[in-house]
Amino acid sequence: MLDAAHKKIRVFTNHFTYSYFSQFCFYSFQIAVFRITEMSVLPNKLTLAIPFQNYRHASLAYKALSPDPLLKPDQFYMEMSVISQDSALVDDKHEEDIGATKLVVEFAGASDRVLRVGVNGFFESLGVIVECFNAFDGGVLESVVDGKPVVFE
Amino acid sequence: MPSRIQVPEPERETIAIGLEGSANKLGVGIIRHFPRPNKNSHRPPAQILSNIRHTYITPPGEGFLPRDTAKHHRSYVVKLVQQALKQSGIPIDDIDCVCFTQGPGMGAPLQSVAIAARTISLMWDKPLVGVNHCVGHIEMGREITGATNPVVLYVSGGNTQVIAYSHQRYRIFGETLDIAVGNCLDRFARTLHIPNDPSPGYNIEQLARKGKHYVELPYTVKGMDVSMSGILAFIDGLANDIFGGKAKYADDGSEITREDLCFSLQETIFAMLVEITERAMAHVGSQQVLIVGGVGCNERLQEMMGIMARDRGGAVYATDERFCIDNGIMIAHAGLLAYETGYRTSLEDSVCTQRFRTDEVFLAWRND
Repeated sequence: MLDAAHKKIRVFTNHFTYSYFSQFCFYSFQIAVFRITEMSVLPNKLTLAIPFQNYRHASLAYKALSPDPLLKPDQFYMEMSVISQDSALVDDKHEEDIGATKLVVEFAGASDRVLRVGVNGFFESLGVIVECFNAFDGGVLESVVDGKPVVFE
Repeated sequence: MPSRIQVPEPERETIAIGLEGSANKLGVGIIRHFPRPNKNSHRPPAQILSNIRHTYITPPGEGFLPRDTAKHHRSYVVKLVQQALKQSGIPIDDIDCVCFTQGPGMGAPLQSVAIAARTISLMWDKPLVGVNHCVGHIEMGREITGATNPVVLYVSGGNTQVIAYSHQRYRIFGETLDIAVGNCLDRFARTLHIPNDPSPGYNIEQLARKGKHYVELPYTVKGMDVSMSGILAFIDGLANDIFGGKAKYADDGSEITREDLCFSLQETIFAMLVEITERAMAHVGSQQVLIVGGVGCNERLQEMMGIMARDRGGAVYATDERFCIDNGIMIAHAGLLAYETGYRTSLEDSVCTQRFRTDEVFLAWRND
């Protein structure tokens, strides 16, 4: 699960993540049950925290990725959240003023192979988004994550 | 369902960027629409600000696979958008909406381009407009040729449909029961190991011009529909016999060549298309035929259709490869027409769909 060391704000409600499920499940209660089952049943897990320069970029990546449904949620499951380390409330600030925001993605797969394929697919899509940021919005990613340089492409 | 907002017809210029990537072509185009000078006049012709394309070309004998095609699109889409913007010379602020192909097509390539469309739409804060690929072809064909109410023959690598307009929808009169015309040609090109550059269909057309002997092939028109897979299997068998050392001979005793096979394949399948198109024209009472889609730039098809249309006192309308073959400008054009009537695609509705029938689209911009 998520690293509890940082002070975080869960920025989005589950609305975006579960928009495709909401067609089937009317009650958030049911959604929550489904989610817990999928996440806990699938044995192979991976959590990534992808750092972005500011809240705007992290949330844009989240929004661009969220509409596509998972093709086999019983095989591969993924849940995204946008987590800002800024202590101020998100609502009070302009999106670009909220710095150092992470896109945290929890993956779970039925086997390590399924997990690997799914995570690769996620990175392929994220690559396009980051390239868009670089091309049309100036620099985006922090060049260093946990002391190691990050190179896209 | 996509949201619909009621807005009056714009009284200013509108500009759209369109992203297309439903098959092996990646296209980005920017188009400008002008308002009608007064209520009774037609809309002035649209202005094409940029229209660029990058095609994923596979080696001879190989088709394009969804995974590799998606990878191609992901590698080029941002560069193409940058180049299109540069060529158009307009600032991002002037763009009204971001249009993208929502379907039909191959899932993975569609999704790769949709991701880019969503991202730039969110970054630039411009509304997103999902476009049906077939409607894009039809609207661009009408815009370029000026055909008012034609019977449309839509022939490409993935689609074969005879379409006529009625009551704000493009109705499908007839279609292929199995594979598309372009797919049949592409796969025969693979059998012959003809290069896929610039396109397999173009290379077949060049070979067919040198063909002299017609080899009889199955002729499979089924009412208003056609079937292609049997013809392909038959001619593939012939080709394999010939190249396997079992020569075939024409009536005059000369050996059947691959040029003859290309010629015979084109003559047969185009005759079938002309037949169902003519029947649709008789039904609708239309004198015009508009040919759109990648196969539409085949000059032999245009010629055969022209002979039929002239016999009926009508004319054939076709465009060149810039607009026939998949491109971004047609997506921008059809998307902008929808945008002007208030159509928007919300983020949740921006998922691509491999199956998206032409008649599912409500044409709010046509009221004839």
